[in-house]
Amino acid sequence: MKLVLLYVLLLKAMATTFSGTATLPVVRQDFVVRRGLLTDRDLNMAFTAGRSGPGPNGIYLVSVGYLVAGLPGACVGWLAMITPAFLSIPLVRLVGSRVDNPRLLAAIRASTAASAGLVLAANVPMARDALTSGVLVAIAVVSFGVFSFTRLDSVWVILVAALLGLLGATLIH
Amino acid sequence: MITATLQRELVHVRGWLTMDQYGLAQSLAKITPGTGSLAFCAATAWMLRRWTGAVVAVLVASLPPAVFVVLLTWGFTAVSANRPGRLVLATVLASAVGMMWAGAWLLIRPQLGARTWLRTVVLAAAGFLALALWSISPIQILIGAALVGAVWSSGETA
Repeated sequence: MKLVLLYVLLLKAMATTFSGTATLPVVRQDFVVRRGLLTDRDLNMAFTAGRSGPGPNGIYLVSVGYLVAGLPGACVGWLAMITPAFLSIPLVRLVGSRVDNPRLLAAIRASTAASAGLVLAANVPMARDALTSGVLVAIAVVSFGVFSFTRLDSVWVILVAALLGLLGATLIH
Repeated sequence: MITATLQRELVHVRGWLTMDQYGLAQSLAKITPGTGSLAFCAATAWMLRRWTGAVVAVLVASLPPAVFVVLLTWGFTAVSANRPGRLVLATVLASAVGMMWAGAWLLIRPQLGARTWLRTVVLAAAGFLALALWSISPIQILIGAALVGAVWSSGETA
């Protein structure tokens, strides 16, 4: 895949949403459904890598870029992630104190609410691929609870899940 | 987390920004597409050192985690090549599914107040159905939702 096209697709996902996680449905649509460049499992793995360390929510795009086109792809993913951030600078001048416009805020919040539905819809096939046993479903539910209702960092959730997997692998062998 | 740390450092400890400037950067980060924390870093650093500051701030906030993510992705790909590794990866991916559910929940949770909950629930459900059942493009759904929000305002404040 051409790096310019990769950049455009990832930038499109970033530039049309207001949160790193909300890019997921757009990325899935372009890379899994439309172009078949990634599987749901790849995308899930990229998301996991993004949540396993420090950094902004959209950092998983770097992983998506890496899985599609290796290290150059990772650089392109990083560029796509940071590009929209610089839009805030002209906004400082243009919008200034009018940033609290209720209609603008309502439009952004409405778009964010729809994003939540989109994230869940995009997650359905990924969950179908990943949750193939009762134990894995239980891990997903516990992970949801911990991540939603406690201040525990996501890296601990992932570490405990990995330890459970390691324990399972040891028991089987 | 990053905005709270910066508020303490830039406004209260060093006095480089006023609370108004800080508030403006925070509000702008919310209306800038993409990752809010990076937009916030760019805006605050631009106020202090213009473009050089903005570029340096975004690089510092994004480059080290990006390198870490590449190493992790490489690691995940490597361990998935053998059976024990695949088992570990399966549990890790299951936890990521739960985190995505939580991600969706955390997106709407701040909007479940008395005046906005109905619009939030309707739009989230509509977004889910539009993609899951009718495969409408996510971008069209987001634009449609923004238009609905502009009309169906619930007395928003920053």
